[in-house]
Amino acid sequence: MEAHYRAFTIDELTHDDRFRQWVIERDPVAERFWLEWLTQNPDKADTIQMARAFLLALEEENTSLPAAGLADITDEIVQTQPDRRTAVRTLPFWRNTAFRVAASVLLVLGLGYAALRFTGQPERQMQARLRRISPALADGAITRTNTTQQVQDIRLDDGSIVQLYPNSSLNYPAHFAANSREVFLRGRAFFRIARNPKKPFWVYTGTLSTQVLGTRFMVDADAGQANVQVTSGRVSVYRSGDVERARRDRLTEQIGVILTANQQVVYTQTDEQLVKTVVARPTMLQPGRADAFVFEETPIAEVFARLETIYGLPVLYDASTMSRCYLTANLTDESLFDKLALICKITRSSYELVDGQIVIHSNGCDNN
Amino acid sequence: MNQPKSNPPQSDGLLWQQLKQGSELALGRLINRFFNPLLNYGHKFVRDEAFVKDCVQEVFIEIWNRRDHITTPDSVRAYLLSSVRKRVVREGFRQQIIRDDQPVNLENNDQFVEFSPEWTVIEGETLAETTRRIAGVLAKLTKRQREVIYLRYYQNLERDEIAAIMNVTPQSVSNLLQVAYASMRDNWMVIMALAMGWQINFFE
Repeated sequence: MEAHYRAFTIDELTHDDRFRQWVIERDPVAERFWLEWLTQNPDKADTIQMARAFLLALEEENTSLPAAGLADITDEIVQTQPDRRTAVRTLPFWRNTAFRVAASVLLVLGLGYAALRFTGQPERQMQARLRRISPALADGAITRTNTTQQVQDIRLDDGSIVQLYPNSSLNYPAHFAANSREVFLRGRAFFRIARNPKKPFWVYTGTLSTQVLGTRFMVDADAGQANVQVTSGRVSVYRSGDVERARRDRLTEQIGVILTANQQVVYTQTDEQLVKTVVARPTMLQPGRADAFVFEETPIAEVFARLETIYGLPVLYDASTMSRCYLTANLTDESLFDKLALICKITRSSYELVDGQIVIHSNGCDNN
Repeated sequence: MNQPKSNPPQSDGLLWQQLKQGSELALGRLINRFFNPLLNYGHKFVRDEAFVKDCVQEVFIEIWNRRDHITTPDSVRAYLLSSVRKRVVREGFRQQIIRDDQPVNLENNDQFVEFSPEWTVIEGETLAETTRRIAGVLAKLTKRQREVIYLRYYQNLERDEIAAIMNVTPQSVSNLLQVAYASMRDNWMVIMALAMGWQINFFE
């Protein structure tokens, strides 16, 4: 297994991608590889240890942020508008709370809840709850309940369209406030939100909160479970309790899940956790060329890159292990999961869905 | 000294070009790839995690907001490290001037803070011990030698990239590296002899 590493000096190890993934990036896949390699090459333990200690000595302190923190940063950057920022930046930006609030209020503003949790609650309690979330929803708002067997379209003030499913209801103001758009949902609805970064869109329900700037997504809820599925764009989902706490205590950071196209979050009341996964039937974000999935001796990296672009889902795999994998196949008519199954069969690998991402496990395609 | 670096399928330059076209996915990937190494570098100048995080974030915000106008750098990693270095030093000075009541542990421009390892993440007595010894060796270098070594090994940069970041000639980088190797070599042997009695040729 990877015999060429036996000849590596400490210097060479410190520049090796896979070694760096283990020591610097703390990548669990790389770690597994090296620990396995060490059991087979115990005489090299000292060299490995020295190289590792050298890099760690240079690092001094682990200042790394976890993956979720990095995703939040990306989201904040994308959703912070240049004009908004210019105004704020006349003050020292890094200690200016206004800047931080400006960025994170956007996050909080777009939240949508999904659940039927309040169906059984008395109306008075409901009103109090709505008032706590937003006065605009409590007093003088319109409540529309779908008692039919068909999906009903509701066109909102800003041009957004809500498809309200049977046995569901939506609270919304006749006219949205100057700086935000807020609605409260019980049941299930599909939202097509008109893009307006200056007026983030909130959908409130009992258990979940989702931030939206302009996107298409489905919010679904019943007594024990709620989920949000994203068709296009990007939303942030929070637990409703976290959002209320954040507003009450004027916190600027909270724990949530960012979703992009073809991802969903599922909330179950029993464990009160947000679980991010891939939707059951991922759709293509863009039609792409007719032969987008016709491959002929195509390097596997290119195949995965195309899947990633067309379905919008990250594909994680070890590039060096799979560097000699090529694909010849016509996958035009298969669903995403069938495509993945075939690709894995051909390249003798397997895949799993982790955290809304596709993770490929492979031992490489060397024919020896 | 020059090993070929195996290129991942989506190279830094490719991601940068996708970012320029407005790809949020590419921005996210670059942040995943570089945010933590940049935090580590910034931390060498100012030991204030919130401050450094804001600086690194500002660098990315500026790139994102100016994506229509910026060009693709030869080395994305070197460009980002250089941007963070400049911003941390500049804003660090500015902050000290503006906010005397909140002093930051700021070193001046050419200084690189002392290595004072805290080994919370390192498991295993021997590894921790070896790391501490190596840190001791590194502490004997001058700050500029230490920065060169840090950029060469921890950040995995080539000579020219290091020169651009530290604003010196490539030849000066070579000189700094040679002197650093020379002064480390003796100590290095001592560590190996002490720790395990190895015969390893590290620095040619």
